[in-house]
Amino acid sequence: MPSNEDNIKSGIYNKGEIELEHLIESLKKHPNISKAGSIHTFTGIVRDSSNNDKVVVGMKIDAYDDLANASITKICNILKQKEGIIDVKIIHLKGDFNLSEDLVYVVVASAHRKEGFEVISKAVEMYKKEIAVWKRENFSNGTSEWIH
Amino acid sequence: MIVEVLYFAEFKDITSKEKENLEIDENLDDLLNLLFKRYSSFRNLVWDEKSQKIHNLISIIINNQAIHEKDPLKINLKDGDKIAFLLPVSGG
Repeated sequence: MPSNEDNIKSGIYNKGEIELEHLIESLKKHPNISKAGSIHTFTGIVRDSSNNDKVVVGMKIDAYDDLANASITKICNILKQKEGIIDVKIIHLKGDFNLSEDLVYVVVASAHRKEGFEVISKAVEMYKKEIAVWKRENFSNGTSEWIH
Repeated sequence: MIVEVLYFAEFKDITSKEKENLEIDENLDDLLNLLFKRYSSFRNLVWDEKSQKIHNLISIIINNQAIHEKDPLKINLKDGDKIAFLLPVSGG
């Protein structure tokens, strides 16, 4: 299981394959982790309403793994170049999700909190726009809609 | 020649497939015509009836590379090519 490996690679995984605590444990094994003063995490979860106020009861995430993994690697590599950043990991899960279940993890280790907050925010904005992942919201009236 | 078509999101829904191999003559236009015949909703997603072109929201991916040709219908395909048509992304 990827969650037991020392170094969890950023990328697309099936739902349940990785949990946040395993990702943080993995990050703490980074060879330069002693230079970090903070670890920042972002967890994207399933919300119970859509952007146009429909009642959401679940979500499906689909991904073009090859393209999405390449984009995630590129985003992490760009952000890791920034001053004071030790490591950046992005995990996007795919499959069928219930309300409040985890969809995405972004974890950043930084020397100081300021650059960590900046980079985790940037990482979220970048993955939302750039990776080949699609979400379908399932509504309480039995309909569903892919969001673009 | 045989090409492989990959389906994601709406495309997976309307085809009920993740991918399939299709036999075509030559170019992307041949492939699209075949897909339009097989799946009636495919045309609605991909084709802009006003401009009579592939809708500009659609990204065309061949062998994991985005295509930026002015007239993608004329792109010649090769045996074994992997093709995907993608709608704008929406990460979780």
